[in-house]
Formats: sequence, C-alpha cells, structure tokens
Amino acid sequence: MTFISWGYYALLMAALAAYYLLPRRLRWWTLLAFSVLFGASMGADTLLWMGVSAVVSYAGARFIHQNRGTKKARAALWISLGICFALLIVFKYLGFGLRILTRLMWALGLEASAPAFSLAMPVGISFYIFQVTGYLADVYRGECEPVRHFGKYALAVSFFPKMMQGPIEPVQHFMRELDEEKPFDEKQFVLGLVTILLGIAQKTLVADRLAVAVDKVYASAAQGLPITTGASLIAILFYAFQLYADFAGYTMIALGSASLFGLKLSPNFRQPYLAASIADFWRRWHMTLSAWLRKNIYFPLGGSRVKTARWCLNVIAVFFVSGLWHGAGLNFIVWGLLHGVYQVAGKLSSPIRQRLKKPLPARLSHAVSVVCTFALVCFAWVFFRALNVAEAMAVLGGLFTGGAFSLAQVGLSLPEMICCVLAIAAMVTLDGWNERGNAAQWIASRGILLRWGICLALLTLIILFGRYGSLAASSFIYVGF
Amino acid sequence: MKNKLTARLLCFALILCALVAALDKALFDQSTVAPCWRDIRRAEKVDVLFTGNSHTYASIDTDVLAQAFDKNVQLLRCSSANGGIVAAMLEAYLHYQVPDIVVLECNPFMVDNYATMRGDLRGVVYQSFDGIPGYWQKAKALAKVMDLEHVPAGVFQLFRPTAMWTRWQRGEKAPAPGYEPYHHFTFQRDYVPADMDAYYLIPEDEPAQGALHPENQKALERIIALAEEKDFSIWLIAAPVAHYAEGYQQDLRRLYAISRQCGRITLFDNSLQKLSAICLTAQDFADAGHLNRRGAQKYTQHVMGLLADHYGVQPDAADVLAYRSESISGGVLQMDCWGDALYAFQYGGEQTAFAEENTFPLPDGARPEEVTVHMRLRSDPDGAEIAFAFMEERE
Repeated sequence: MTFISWGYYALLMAALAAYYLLPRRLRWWTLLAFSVLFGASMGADTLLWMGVSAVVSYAGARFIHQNRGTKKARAALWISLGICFALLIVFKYLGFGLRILTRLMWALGLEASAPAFSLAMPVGISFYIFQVTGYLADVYRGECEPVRHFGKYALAVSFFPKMMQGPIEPVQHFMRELDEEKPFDEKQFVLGLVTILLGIAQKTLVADRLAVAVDKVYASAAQGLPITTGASLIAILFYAFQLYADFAGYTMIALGSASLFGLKLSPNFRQPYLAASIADFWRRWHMTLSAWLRKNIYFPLGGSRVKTARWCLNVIAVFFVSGLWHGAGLNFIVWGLLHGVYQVAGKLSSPIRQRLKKPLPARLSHAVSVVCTFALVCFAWVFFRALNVAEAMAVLGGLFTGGAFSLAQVGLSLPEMICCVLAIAAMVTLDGWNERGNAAQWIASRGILLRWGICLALLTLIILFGRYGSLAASSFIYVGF
Repeated sequence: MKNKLTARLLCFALILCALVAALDKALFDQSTVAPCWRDIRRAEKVDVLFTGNSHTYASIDTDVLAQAFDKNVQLLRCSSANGGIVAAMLEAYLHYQVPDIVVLECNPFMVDNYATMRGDLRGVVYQSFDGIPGYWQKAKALAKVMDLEHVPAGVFQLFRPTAMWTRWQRGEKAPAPGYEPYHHFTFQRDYVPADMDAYYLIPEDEPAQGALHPENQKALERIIALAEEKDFSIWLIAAPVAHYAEGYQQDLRRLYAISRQCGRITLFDNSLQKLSAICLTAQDFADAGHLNRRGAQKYTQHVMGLLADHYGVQPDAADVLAYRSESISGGVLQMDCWGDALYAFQYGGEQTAFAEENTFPLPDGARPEEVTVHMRLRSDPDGAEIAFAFMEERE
C-alpha cells in the first residue's frame, strides 16, 4: 500500500472518520489500530519485527530509566540496541556481509562461496529501527522520560503516515503531540489536505516523470551500451530532482496526513538544493536522519570539540554510517564517503574559498556557492542511483564521450521532455517560494475561491500529466531503505 | 465546524468530478467508439455478433460477411480482451439487442486475464466500453472489469511514455513501421514467422487436463447463462495461430470439452491440424498469434462458408469478389482477393485474358485509375463478372 494508491486514502478516510467520531479517549487507540492495519497490509512479518522491536525498546527504556547511572542501565542499553540492530543487520546487511566476506576469502586465496541468502527486507525497517534506538539513547542520556503506556509508545513508533519512510520522529516529540489535548483546528486540517496534494503533485508530476529518462540511461549503463554526454547530463540532473521530489513528496504526504489528525511531525526538507555548502545541504536534506546521526554518532565521537584530524575521522565515520544506512552496497558507501570527503575538504578549504569569494558581490558569491554545492551533490547522487560502482562510473564516463544527442536516448518524446523541464522549473519555483515563506500555508490560508481554484488546477494537472499506473514508479525510492 | 468542513469537502469532490467529466467530454475522441455501439439503437435486428479481441477483429472482416449475406453482422471488439471483458461487454450489448448467433473467439477465454493485462491497456478497455448507451449500463459493465488500483492508469494521462494510447489522445494514431491499416486489419503484410514449424502438438485424443483460469471459466459460464436466458446460439471458434504452446493447446481442449457438454454451443475447431483446410500457410501470419492481411482474407472466406452452411445460401459472386485490395509498387499494379478469382486488366482498348496472374505493369504515362480490373470466380468462370477502375473508391 503506497501513498499513491486508492488503498492508502481509503484507509486514511476510514481512520479520520473513526478518529473524529469516536470519543476523544479512544483516539489514540484508533490511530494504533489503523497503524497495525497499515503494517499488516505490508505483511505479517512486518508486524512481527515491529512488535519485537517495540517491546524490546519499551522494556529496555523502562529498565534503563529505573537503573539510571548504573552498569545495569548500560548493559540494558547495549542489549536493547543489539537486539534492534540485529534485526536490521539480518534483514538488510547479512547478505551483503556474506558476499564481502566471500570476496575477502577469495582474495586471500581461500575457497569459499557465499551461501544463497534471500530475505525480503521489510518496508521501513531502517527508519523504524533508528527511531526506537534513538529513543533508547535519549532515555539513557536522560534527555527524556520513558513512555509509561505501551500502547501509546507503540503508536509513537508505528504511526502509519511515517511508517514507511519516516520522518525519524523523536518519540518524545510525538508523545507531546499525542498528549496535548488540542481542539479541532480547521486551518490545520485544510493545511494537511493542501500539503498532501502538493506531495502527490511532486511525486506524480515531477519524480515519476523524470524517472523515465533516468531509468533509461542507467539501464543503458548497466547493459554496457554507450551513453552520450547529453544523455548522461540529463540523467544526472533529472535524478537530483527525481529523488528530491520523490522523497519530499512522500514527506509532505506523511506530514499532511498527520496534520489531518491534529499531529505535527518534524519536517525533513528545507529547500536542500538552495544550500550554499555541503554542511548547509545536510542541514536541509533528510533533516531527521541528520539529527539522529549528529546526536547518536557525531556528538558521542566528540563532534567538533576535538582536534582537526580526529574531527575529519568523525565526519567520515558519520557519513560512512549514513551511506551504509541507505543501502547494503559499495555504491552507497562510496556515496556516503564522498559526502564525508566533501565536508572535510569544505572545512579545510574554507579560508581559501573565503579569500576567493571576497572580491565578488555577495549575491554572485552566494549563487556560485549554491551552484557548486548542487554540482557536488549531483555527482555523488550518481553513486546513490546506480546499482553498483561500475554502473555509476559508466554514467559518469558518459559525460566525456560526446556524441550526438537525441531524445530517444532518454526515452522521451518532445512533449514529454517539455513536461520534465517544466516540472523541474516548478520544483525550483516552489523551493524559492518556500525559502521565503510556506507555499502550502499560503494556499491553505487563501479565500475559498482562490484556494479551491488552485487545488482544482493542481488536481487537473495531476490527472492530465501525472504519471501513475502499473508502469509508473508508484513506490517511493526511500521505501527501499 | 466539522460538519461545514465535511460539506465543503464533498462539494469540492463533486466539482472535481464535474471538471474531469467536462474534460473527458471535450478531449475524448468520439471516432474511436466502436461502430457496433453506434448501430445498436437501430431497430434492425442483429443477426450475428462477433466478439473478442485482436484474434477476432484482425482475422475476420465482418463488413464483408454482412454484405455477402445481406445480414446485420456486428463486431463487439476490445483489444486484449479477456473472458471477463467479453462477458461484461456482451451483457451490456444484450440489454439492447439479442442476436441470433453470438460468435465467441477462444482466445479471450484462454490466455489473458485482467490481472496480467498491462496497466496502460486499461485505457483501451475503457475506450471499448464507451458508446454503451446509458450511463447505468456503462457503469454496470465497467464495474465488472474495473480495477481500482489502476484507474485512472492508461485512461486519462495525456503524455505517457511506453504507453500504447490514452483515452484522451486525439488525432490519427500512426501505425508502427511495417504495419498498414486496412479495413479492420492492422497487421503487416507478408510477415512470415521465422520458426512456425517449431511447435509440439498435443495428440488430439489426449483428454483435457486441469481447468481454465477461474475468471475466464466464470465468464464463459455467465455467457452460457445469458444464452439460456435470452435464447441465442453460441458459436465457439478458434482463429488460427502460428504457434500452439502447450498451455494454449490445453486451454483449447478445456474449452472444447466445455462446449461439447453445453447444448447451446456449436464448436468450430480451427486448430492447427485444420490449417491446411483453410489453405493457411506460414506466409499468412503476421506474428505467432495473428493472421496477416492475406491470412485474414482466407479466414474470412472460411467463416463465410460456415455462415453459408448455416443460412443455406451461397453468397453472390460479386460479394465474394468484393473483398479485394489493390496496391502499387514499382509501377506494378497488384490485385489481391481472398476468393478464387481470375483477373483481367484492361487499359486503353486492350484487355488481358482472364488468368490467375494478379499483377499488371502500369504502362508509361498511365495513371492507375485508367486501368480497369475485371474479376470472375475461378469456380464459375462463365459466371458473373465485376469490373472497376483500379483503386476506385468503394462504399
């Protein structure tokens, strides 16, 4: 059940009806029941591992809090973390690990073969495990009290709009939202609807449209077919916006869905491609993951309060984990390490870059920084998108091959290409707008005629130009993580 | 406040539906509506209704059959239709007309089922249901085949890479290179499958095993029930194919077994062993599953013979010979006719003798329409003759 499916909206409407029709004291029960239903739609095994990790993290947090400051608390933390991460490792990394081990053994001249290992990775497991482990760490650090009620805790970690792709919501934030007795806020409800609509538009009008060209070029690379410079450039540029629109679109649908219940989730994006540096980029992209990594890996390693050499290692370590979190593959590790190197190089070269930028007008200097940051991010995304490092190198190699470009190389007709260009222009415009204000809030706060007009126009565009159906990428990219 | 909000949301939803309906009305290409739905409201009784997918409409020319017997022969078609779609369309059709004979082609009940139908072909299905008079009948028919998960996939989008066509794509749909539209046929001439001989035939006396796909089984049972209720006959035919995969043959046998148990169904077995009886060879196929133009001409003649036996009349020679096609290539005029034809070409004051030769080199400076073609039935060389200018417009 994806966010672009009738099933999700049928479930959402049923949940809303039950939420607002039933007595207030039953509201969290309603949300929990629908979250269980949503999880069950993805398979009984999803419910099983979610249940195990919820029980382990709930009990672990209570025990840690009761034995605060003692060795028992520390042991309980490691055991709870171990069980939760073990689930993640088994489902996500075991096969990868076995393959790496086999290759190492071959390199050492030992005969070995990787056992055939096939375990379907449950949807959203990376997000979910990071959520519960972040909670355990917060309780251990004394930053929050453990949740007393298991049912509410289960809801906090499995609330269905954020189950598949986050945001990685700190449990205490969600509990505050849940416990606050808020009256029905029509403005927030309407804002939620507008936000969902914008999310669907981003997914169907932008992400899935751009995916056609990207998939075509990367498929050519995988098959060893030649790629022209034009095709390579288009694939790289389009993927940057495809990924952003896909993930941001999902997040908007998740945030909008939560808003309908009067709950606020943490935003995940803040116009990332307007970042003026890689550090700034990571303050704008997948913000909840960045916050988790900062709090649970970067700061415990010493953060920036260490010597430069140690700081560099800390940053590389954080981005190594980030790469690994995204996928069990060398290409993801390369992607993560690239960003680590970017950060390190950025910090070390900061004095030089400041001197170079000094003679330039502030706006031009800022624009150059934004463009350079975007180029670096796009370069790294090539490894993120490719199935393996070789494929990534083939796509990047295409930048230097030259050759005559035709739209057939990217699988698009002229009208479709125009749609793609307009879609990117729309994303950039939306980001520019959001940098100064909030587009969804502006639309939601208009008078009824203008608001309806905009929403009807958007829906019509989605129906006419959106890409959906069995041949479209109706699942979201980050679902795979 | 919540009640007001709910009312406003419902109002918004209604306006959206009205907007989409208005767009559909404005953008939908009405010329794609199947003629059988346009003709359905005529008082004239429908004698024979052919149903099915491309295995029907690309292999049988119902216009020729109608002309040959002076009967009302209609075609209820849907590309890639499975049994469920055929049953739903037929049920809607029977609300307005009850033919004497409903001809079912085997393929929809054998191979496809809706779940395996590509998402972008859904638009084709919905297009085929357009023209069903009456919103209620249309809604009932669509409800039987609609797959919510894929609506509006293949239906509304204006630009869809990899899609075959959309409901709102207006204008001439250019055929793919090598495919020439001709009457209802859209398949390439003279395409010869490379490995037509590479097939394995299940021995005819081997009994059918297993069952049809449940959806197709259900659809066939529904049609049989309709036949009992409305009192029409069912003809079950299988258009020839170049390859008979084992699964295909098993399905044929299951269908045949069902038809033998049902008194309403008359079975016409055109399976592989019978190809020679219809004079079909490898040169008559466009691909493994479809006849090409020449093969369709021969097969239409075969079906004409079935109808002739049923009605106890022989079609006029003129009607038989009416089914012809002309082409020019490299200054050579070529006639093709499915019937046993003899040709004579007249230019200026001179006429060639009647012979099987169906080509005529166009004299220098001559225009094709200055050549008159004379045709006679080979089986009746002294009988009726038709004459027409080459590439003359026909009604």
